[in-house]
Amino acid sequence: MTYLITRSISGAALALLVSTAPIAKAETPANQLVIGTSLAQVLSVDPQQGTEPKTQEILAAVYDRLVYVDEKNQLKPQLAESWTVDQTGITFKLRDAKFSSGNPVTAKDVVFSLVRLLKLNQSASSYFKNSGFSADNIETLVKAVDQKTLRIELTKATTSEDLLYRLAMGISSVVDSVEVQKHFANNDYGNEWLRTNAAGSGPYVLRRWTPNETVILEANKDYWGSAPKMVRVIMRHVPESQTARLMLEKGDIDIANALTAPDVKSFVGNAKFAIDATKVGGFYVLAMNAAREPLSKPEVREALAYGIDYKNIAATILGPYGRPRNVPVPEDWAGAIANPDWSFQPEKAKALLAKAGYPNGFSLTLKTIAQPPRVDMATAIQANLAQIGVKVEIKQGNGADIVAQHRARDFDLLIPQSAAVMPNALGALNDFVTNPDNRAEAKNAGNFVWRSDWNITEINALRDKANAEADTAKRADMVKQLQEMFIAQKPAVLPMFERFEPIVRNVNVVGYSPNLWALNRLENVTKTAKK
Amino acid sequence: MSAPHVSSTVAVRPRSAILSGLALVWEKLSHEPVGLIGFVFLGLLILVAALAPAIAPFDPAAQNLQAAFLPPSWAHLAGTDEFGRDILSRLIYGARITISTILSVTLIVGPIGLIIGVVSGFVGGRTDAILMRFTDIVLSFPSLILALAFAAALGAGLGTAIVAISLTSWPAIARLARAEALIVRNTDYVAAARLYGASPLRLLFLYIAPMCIPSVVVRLTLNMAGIILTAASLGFLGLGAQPPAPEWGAMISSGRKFMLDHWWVAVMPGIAILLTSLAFNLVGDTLRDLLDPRHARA
Amino acid sequence: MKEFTPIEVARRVGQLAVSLFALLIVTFVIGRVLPTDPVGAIVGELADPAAFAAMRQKLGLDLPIYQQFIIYVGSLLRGDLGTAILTGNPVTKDLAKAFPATFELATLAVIISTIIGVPLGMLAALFRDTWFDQIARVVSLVGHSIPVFWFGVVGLVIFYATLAWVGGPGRVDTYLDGLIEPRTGLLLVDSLLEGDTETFWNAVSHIVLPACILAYSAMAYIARMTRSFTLEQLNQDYVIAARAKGASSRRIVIGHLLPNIAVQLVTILAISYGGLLEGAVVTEIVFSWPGIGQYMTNALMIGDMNAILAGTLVIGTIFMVLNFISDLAYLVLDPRTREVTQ
Repeated sequence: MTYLITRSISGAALALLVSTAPIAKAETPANQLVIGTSLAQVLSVDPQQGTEPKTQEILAAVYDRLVYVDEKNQLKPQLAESWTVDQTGITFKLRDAKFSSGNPVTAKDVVFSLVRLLKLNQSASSYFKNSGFSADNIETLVKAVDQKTLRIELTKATTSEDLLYRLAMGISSVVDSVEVQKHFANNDYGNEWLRTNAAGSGPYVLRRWTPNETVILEANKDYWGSAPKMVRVIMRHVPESQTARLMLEKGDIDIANALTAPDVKSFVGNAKFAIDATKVGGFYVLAMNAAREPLSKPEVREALAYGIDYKNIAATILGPYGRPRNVPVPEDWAGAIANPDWSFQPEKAKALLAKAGYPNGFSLTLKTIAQPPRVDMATAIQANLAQIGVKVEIKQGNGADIVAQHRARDFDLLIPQSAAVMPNALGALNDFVTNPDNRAEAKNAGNFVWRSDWNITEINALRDKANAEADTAKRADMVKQLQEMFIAQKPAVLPMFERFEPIVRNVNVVGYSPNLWALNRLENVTKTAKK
Repeated sequence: MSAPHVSSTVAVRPRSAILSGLALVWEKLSHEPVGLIGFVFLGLLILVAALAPAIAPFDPAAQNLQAAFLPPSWAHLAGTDEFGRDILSRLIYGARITISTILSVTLIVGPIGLIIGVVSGFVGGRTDAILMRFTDIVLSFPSLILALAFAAALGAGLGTAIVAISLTSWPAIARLARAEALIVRNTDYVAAARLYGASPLRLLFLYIAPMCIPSVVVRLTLNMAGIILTAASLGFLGLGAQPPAPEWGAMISSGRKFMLDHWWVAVMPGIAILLTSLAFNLVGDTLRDLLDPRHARA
Repeated sequence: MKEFTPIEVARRVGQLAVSLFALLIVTFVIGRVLPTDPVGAIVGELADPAAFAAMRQKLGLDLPIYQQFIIYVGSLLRGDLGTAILTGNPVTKDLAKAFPATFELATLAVIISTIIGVPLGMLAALFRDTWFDQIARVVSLVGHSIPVFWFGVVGLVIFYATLAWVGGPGRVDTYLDGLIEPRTGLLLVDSLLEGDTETFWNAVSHIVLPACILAYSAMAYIARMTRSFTLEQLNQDYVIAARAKGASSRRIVIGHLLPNIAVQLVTILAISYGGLLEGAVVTEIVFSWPGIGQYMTNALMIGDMNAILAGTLVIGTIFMVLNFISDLAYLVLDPRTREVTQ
């Protein structure tokens, strides 16, 4: 009797567990999109401040820009209905659009946003600053002709094409000047407020942002284009890749965009999911401190280039995140030159070291952010370099630490990643060939080459010439020459792998088109019926 | 606390007090099968750590990217990890890290805790009040959080992990040592030494401190399991030993990235931590039962 | 330890205040020597040094440390813990959100570990040195020896991924997220107050696994200590007398033992509770639990001083207050402490 009672009690307990099980296996509603991502780096949704890729995804939905770059890297109109290019500048005609506050979008708002970008003087402004714009000249270069007409003058350091690409970046998002001006405090251009709030005209409005937890976007009823199909978009912070993968498999999320390489690979061949890898035009880089003893010798730098097993690292560690490439232009982009002979050749590397006067090798430290795939790359490089007699000690740290040490030139070796400022060869090269003033006093800490203390006066001069050259053929020539000079000087900023940003999406999600800066627009996303 | 035990050994010299304590432990241990298993396991672990280069079948740092993620087999008893390294060899070398962490922390914490506690209990008065207040403050700090902050402040690494753990684990020892010293201070044996004109320092270090050692040792053993877990937590958070050091916690941390497809990469170091920490707990628990009458068995 | 008098209590309160202030100084100093510079996280990697300097000035980080400390204490007394760089919100607002999540998890864990641990310890004492005692001992020590983060990962793979018995990481499924207006901040309570049973059961399915894992890690201590207390009582005259009078074991346990060890148990539970709050830190990371542990670890990663300080202060304060309460409980309720120390 007692036995029976116990049995039925445990039976009831089991039934309770089973009854909760269907809740655990939820599916996302048909008119909502749920993205599993990492929000750890999202610290500000102020478009003139936040430059991190996951922030761009939010900015893409909430704000509009004059133009945008589509998935084929073509420039397309967004807030600008049309534009005309002449010798000295570009004139834009704006479409009729409203901010979510109800205010109309005018040329004044665009001027306000660009002036704001340079006056705020955050990392975001560097893309305009290296095109010759500055906090001092911006107000004279950008003018509202009338309500719907805008004029931007070119500087000596940029072409109209380059300028259009910069206007397509998240940093050029158009903010609601009336709304933002209400929140000016201590001369901060409304930064304090706009850091956590939004004032845009995009297809979505920011309903809620809980840092490191969720971002909830809701369809903007006053959006100028066709109404978004997804009424709600939720970005959920799932820092653990394996967890995100489980949630994707179970249908708790529709898209995962922060998976590790092995987890992305696990979806290969699964008909229910699709993998889209965006070519961002950036690279995983081995930065060497060219001011420090052995690394100041070009032979030593080339020896290291021969001492890394690119092929196997790409195959086992990077997978969908990249492929080997030592020239800082993706190999399938127009104007790219062929890769040099730099592959894993320990004998050649040792010979080079012996020639440089280090037959017995030496010791170095390698600093890296403690995140995949970079930390795994570091471990593999450590083992590779050991084979050519270079003893490497790894120091891993969080993003803020490592970047601070990189900026302070405080490293032997370090693994940063570059990004393309434009979807063309010159844009990809930018981080590798720019260093106008290598002196320590220049404090050009935003610059990759300066951080490596690598003096490249000649290359930098050619880079400036190429950027200002409007003639396509001449420019292509210079771009080729830039790459050759870069390789010939045995770079202290050595590109190792071209970077991809893979996402995995449920195949029922259609119309999600990635952009190289992660400005992925969501208004055309639909969901087909689940099978 | 353990007054009856202490007074029973009061008549003998301190050194032989420890020896007879050990003999007592050994005698009782034969009736403690579970505790005995713990002792044997720890003995083996120390042996493995000492002989790591001779025992480990592979170089723990040798990578072979083509042989990544091999499941456990006769060639690789615990499989291989994401770099094709032999996990068993890494566990064997990792035992060295674990044991040296434990030893370092214990060697820092034991003497510091003992001295602060004994001085506090023996001298009494204002010294006692100040020292104990200080101890209480540190004792009430959330240790993992403080260790986290320390590790972040001093830079990640095994050394800072050891310092961080030590900083938060001496107060428990100090409190215990003080309680013991309070009891010992009033025994006839100390009074006799005092009569013979022993100096306070001599009293403190030759007569009182040794009497407090057995219970401090028990407490330290119990602490060891906690040290393993805290060190592993720091390793797990990337604030402990740096790659390619085969620290167990760090191995779990990197292994969990492959948990769904290659369970052994994270499970094997987890089992190593579990067994080692369990062994320390069993040993500490047994020692306490044997030496502390409050926990005495029938 | 003294008699329970108003003076003694006042003295203890004073000591508590000193301890809290010391905690404040220590955490502040640690926060100051953190090599991580929060400024870089805000202005961005490519900004020029002028932008860094401007932001540093804005955050007051250019002042000497003692001035920063005075300013911090001053605003602390006004209930202002500063603004978190991590979120751009006042830290108090962040903590008010994060703390209930941790509190809910730790409380459930302490309830589970008490319900299982106390009877287990008593039984182990009653059947001491039998196979039951040995097994109970090993089982609970295993819980004390498992790294919670590892157990969490393994638990998720087994119970969520493979068996689908429990909900995944997070407090609730994404599609139910943010539907309940927080009143107490405790999702289980709030959803019941709203009468939203779907959210309630969903939240239950999410909290069960992390709570059980935390509970298991705390159970060893509770069970072991209960066993010791019980053993001690079993040797007391009154139990022997009751036995001699032929009272049943059950009556002895419920009628005599439990009331007598209650005080000691409360102390143990208070200590375990402090430990659980701390253990929640690592568990929260594995389970994406939006509590104070995850908040602090995130803050630590970018060197967000205000958030780290406030988090440490809150946990440290709870720790100290729990110790304080258990000390007082001893003074009031346990005559033996008085005897022994007099």
